[in-house]
Order: sequence, then structure tokens, then C-alpha cells
Amino acid sequence: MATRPIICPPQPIDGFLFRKDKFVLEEDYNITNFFDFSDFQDEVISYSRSKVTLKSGKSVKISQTDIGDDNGFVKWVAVKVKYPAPKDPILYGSQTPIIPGVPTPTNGTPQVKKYIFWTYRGNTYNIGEMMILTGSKLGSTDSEKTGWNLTEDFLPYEDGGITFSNPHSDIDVKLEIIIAR
Amino acid sequence: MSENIGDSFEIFGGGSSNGGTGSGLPFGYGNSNSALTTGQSGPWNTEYTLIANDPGSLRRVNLTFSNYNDPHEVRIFQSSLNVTYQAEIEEKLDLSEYFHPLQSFSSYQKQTFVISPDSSINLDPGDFDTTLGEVSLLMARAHYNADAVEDQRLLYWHYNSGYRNIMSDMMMLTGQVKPDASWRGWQTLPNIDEQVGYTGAATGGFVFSNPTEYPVKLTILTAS
Repeated sequence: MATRPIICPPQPIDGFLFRKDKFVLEEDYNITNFFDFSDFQDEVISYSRSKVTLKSGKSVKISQTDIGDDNGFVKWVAVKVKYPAPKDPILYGSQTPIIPGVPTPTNGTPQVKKYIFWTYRGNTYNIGEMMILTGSKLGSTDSEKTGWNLTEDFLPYEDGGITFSNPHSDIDVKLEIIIAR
Repeated sequence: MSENIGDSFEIFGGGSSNGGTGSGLPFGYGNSNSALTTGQSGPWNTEYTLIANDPGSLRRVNLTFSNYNDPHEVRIFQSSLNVTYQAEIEEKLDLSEYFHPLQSFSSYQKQTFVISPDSSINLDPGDFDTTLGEVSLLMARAHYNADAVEDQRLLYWHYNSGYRNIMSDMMMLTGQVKPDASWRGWQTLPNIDEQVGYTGAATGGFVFSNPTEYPVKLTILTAS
């Protein structure tokens, strides 16, 4: 019986990531701090957390009228996008069973395909795996709205809401969203 | 507690006569004698009510009377974006799964600006030639003057001449890039009009504006 070969773990890939309360660059086993959020805190009044499955080719509009202020504006929109992960090579072995009628699992999502779109007030932007938007508390004497408008269409600011669209035809994605005012 | 403060002094009555209705000296009578006699104290009745039978109830009472108005806060720690209330984490968005790889064509740069009141800056496009000016990560952190109230902790940002958007303390935008191609990232190259003699503002890339009355320190990381 053959013995499983010993495979040394490859050198970790260099890149940016969150590490505790900091945003750092790991490069050749060295860690460089780029942002320190240890002193960061923002008071909020209300919040919501949601998870959405966004099927291929579909769109979903995020409206949180009840979370926003009288005009539907919020201070925080944080979105994480989860793409299909690679298969576990130990569980799936070298061959993937092909079951008629069942999509064959793919080996994860290529990096260049890790994007979807978001549309706000008619402008469409890209999002990879994370987005954090912040706004300010409304001024009591300032008529200008300085948050992110998440109202339903029938409320005074009818261009509210953020629409997320999955342009891919072969992958579903999951959204985890925190909205706070 | 008794309504009387002293045995021989009563401040009630309200009559217009000099003597009032009490038996002692009233307030404001105008002589040099002290209205309060020394060495006496009124009766004090104390009643006790059991409000907590166990530590859990005590915590509830504490929340009711001591920390009821503590705010919810958004904070980043333990590699998560957390909504906290006092010492509790009520909700969180796990950030530990986020990873922006440095690929063979990747580059990054960090810029720090101090934006004067009522002025704007163009984000330096840096050296992202391999992705034709696109970046797949933009993270910004603003530091405001200590005197700035919450309404004054804001910046505006424009992207490719689109609508004016807003940012308060931080912002994170992501996308995807490809080598030698425009793909699904964020374009940092300002689309300056090539017309000879054009002196207007750049219309592409990112423009950050400070509408407040205080200078704002803005740090921006861009990476492809």
C-alpha cells in the first residue's frame, strides 16, 4: 500500500488582510500595518444584518426604510460577497463524481471572476469581496442629506436603495450585509 | 421624611403676616438671627425594597438605572466589523475571510493628504500601468479635527464625474483587475481633457472634497 506523500505547505501568498483591529500587508512573512482601527468607534442608533443569496444573472435591491432616518438615510453599509469556495481536495479526492442533473462543483472561483455590480442613484460600480460605505449624521440645520439613501421608491427620495447584480451565468454568490444608522 | 425640618421651625403657611403660620422664625424675615437652629435634625424614615434576587436580576437593574443610555457602536476588532452594546457584540461581519492577493502584476501605494476647508484633491493615480490605471482595492480613513462635531465629520467623493457620494470615517471599495486590460476595478486615472488650453478640473478618477470648516487628514491605500 502506497504511503501518502508528504507535501510541504507552500509559502503563503502575499496580500492585504484584516488582522484583529488592523489592516495589514503580509509580505514574505513580514507584517506591515496600513490602518489601525483600534481607536475607531461610531455611535449608531439602529442596525440590521441580512444574508442574501444572489443567483446567477439576478439582482436584488437592498432597501432598509425602517432602519434609516425619516428620509431613509443610513450611516453604514457594509457588504461582504462570498463566492463559491474551492473544493476540499481531501474530501473530494482526485475525481469528482458526475451526477446527471446536478451541477458539477467547480474548483472555486477564479480571481478575475470575483466581482459583481452595485448600483446607487443610477451609477453602477464594481465590488469584489468587500465594501464599506459610511456617511454622516444628518445636520439639524443642514437640509442636505449626508448618508446613504436606502428608501423604498415611494418615499420622498425615490432614487433610494442599492441594487446588487450578479452578472455571472455560472456562479451564485452570497451577500452578508450590515446596515446601521 | 417629615415635613418639618426642626422641632420649632416650619416654613409652610404662606401667610402675609410677619409672624407667618409657624411658631419659629420664617425665611426672609430680615433679622440677623439664623432661621435654622443648630444641633437638630429631622426624622428620616428609610424603606428598603428588594429589586434583585440573583446576579442576573442585578444586571438588569444596572442596565435600567446605570447604563440604559449607552449607545450601540460600530467598531472593528477581532478581525470583524462589530455592532456592540456595552461589552456585548450584538452582530458582526467577519472580515477575516477578506484577502487581497498581491499578484505578479500588482502594485500598491498609500497616500496621505490634509484637505483644507472647502477644497478638493485629486487622488494621485500612482503607478498602476499594468492594469491600465485600475485598482481592485481602495481603502480610505479620515481623521477629523477634534472640534468637529458629528455633522462635520464628512467628506465628499466623486468617481468618474458621477454623482457626489459621501464618506465619514472610513471607506472600502473593491473590484477585480486583469493585467494589461481594463476590467472590473476602479479607475484612478483622471480623465483630463486633452484639449489644448484646458484648465478645468480633472473629470475622472477620484476626487475628494472637504466641505467642512476644519482641515481633514485623509489616508488612502490603493492596490491592484
